[in-house]
Formats: sequence, structure tokens, C-alpha cells
Amino acid sequence: MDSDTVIRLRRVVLRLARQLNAASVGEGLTPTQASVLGVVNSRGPVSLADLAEIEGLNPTMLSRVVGKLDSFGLIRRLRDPDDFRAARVAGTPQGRDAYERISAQRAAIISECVADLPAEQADALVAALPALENLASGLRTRRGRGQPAGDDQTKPA
Amino acid sequence: MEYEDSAQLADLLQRLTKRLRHAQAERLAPLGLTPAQERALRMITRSQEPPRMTELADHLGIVPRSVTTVIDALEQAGLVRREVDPRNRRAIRLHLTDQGLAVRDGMREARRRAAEDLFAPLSGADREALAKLLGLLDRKAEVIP
Repeated sequence: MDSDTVIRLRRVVLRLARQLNAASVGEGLTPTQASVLGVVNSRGPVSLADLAEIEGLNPTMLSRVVGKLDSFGLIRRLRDPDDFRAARVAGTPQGRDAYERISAQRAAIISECVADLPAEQADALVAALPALENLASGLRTRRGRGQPAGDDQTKPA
Repeated sequence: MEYEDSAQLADLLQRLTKRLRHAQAERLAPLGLTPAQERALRMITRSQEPPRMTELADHLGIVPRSVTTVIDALEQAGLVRREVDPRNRRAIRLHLTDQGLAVRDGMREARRRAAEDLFAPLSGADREALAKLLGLLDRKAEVIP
């Protein structure tokens, strides 16, 4: 595999994601807090164990983030009286509003970046979205490297 | 590009970043470093000259006492050594040992492998095209205050 291209891709994805962090800062949240808020909002009530796995956070760090979001009124803890470890968190109406503002702000940041691109390149970006979606979902869509195509779940864009 | 497309692209970039960080954490795990130790090593690596403890604390955004804990662990593992700055006898600068340099290379390799895993489903031509497109976007992003 062409390492140079992969390293450039890695760098540019991380840099763009960092630009998007400005949206969470606008809501007074750290990127990690905004990310946890996003998971709770898009998935509904979620256990702390699942959250830790999804976010790649250790339990100490996660409970700090959850405590903050709870104190801001953006999420609330659901306690399971039978099983302490099964503790879950759910969103609140304020949390949903904050999450929607962050999402809109992120979209605005991207829109502004795209606005001045030539139409051809903006179209190419739109055309690349399904392939990016597959990457983000972890779907395997290998091609052109000699693997059998039988396992492919989707066609590359 | 429609608003929905921008929203989707923003969402995708965050999800890709999360996957990348996951993959990196898995690839880095065998090195046996804590996240704080990793960040400290990376900062020492990138610094123009061997950094002072206070510079490291500033950069990592943690109090000097916590840096001491991190550096003690790295020194004990033989990856970093403290040396008196010859130009300022009161200052201690942090150097990577040979073993530290090897671990730095291992970290780079782990990050590269993680990125390869993530982008493996794309053909070489698609990867190149995507890098170019996102690069254009990134250049636009830089000029926005």
C-alpha cells in the first residue's frame, strides 16, 4: 500500500476533524464531552460500558465526562437498582438542543470550506460520501487487489 | 453541496477520526505506554531541541507535578533521560534514549498501520483522489478564523 498517501489521508482527516471541534467549544464543551453527547443523542439510552467502548475512554475519564454533562443538564444518569454496573445515561431536551446546535455549526464549518471550491470538486466530494460512509461504518469494500468480490456488502463509489 | 451533504461530511469526518483513534490505540497497546506517556514522548520527539519539564507541562496542559510522574515512569522504562542544560545549569532538559528512539519509531509505525487498516477498503486511485479533495477542503479551513 502507498504509505505516503495513507499518511496524508490520516493527517488531513485529523486536521479537518480538529477544525470541527470549534463547534463544541462554542457550546462550552470539550471535544470529548461533545462526542459523548453525540453518542447519547444518536443512540438513545446507552450503558456506561458501551460508551467507554465506543469512545475509547477509560472508566475514570468517562465518569468525569458523564459527570460534567450531567451537571450541565445535558444528559442524565439512569440508575438500575439491581445492577450498579449496568448504569446507563440518557439525553435531556437541553442536551438534544445543544447537540443539534453543535451539528448545525459543524455543517456550517464544512459548508464554508466547500463554498469556494470549483463545482467540479464539490461534486466529487458529494460523490465520495458513500465511500466515506462505508469507511466510517467499517464496511469492507476492497477491490482491485485480487480479493474475491463475493464478501462485498456494497459497491465502491 | 447541499446542507445535508455538509452535515453528513462533518459527521463522517468525526466518525472516521474516532475509528482512527480506536485503531491507533489497539496498535499502540503492545508498547505498554499510558496515553499521557505517549503524548509526552511525542512532544519530546517533535520538539526542536530537548524540552524542559516546564515546556512539557505547558504543552500537555498539566501541572508540573504530573509531568514529573510521567517522566519518572519513562525514565524508569529507559526511554527518556534527564540532562542538565550546559547553557543553564539550573535547567533540566529531556532527551530520548536509543530505546526511546526505537519506541518513537514503533509509535509512528503503529499510527501508519492504523491508517492503512482504516483506508484499506479504498483502491489506491480512490485514496489518492480522496486525499486531494480533502486537502483542498483543509486549505480552505485554514483561512477561516
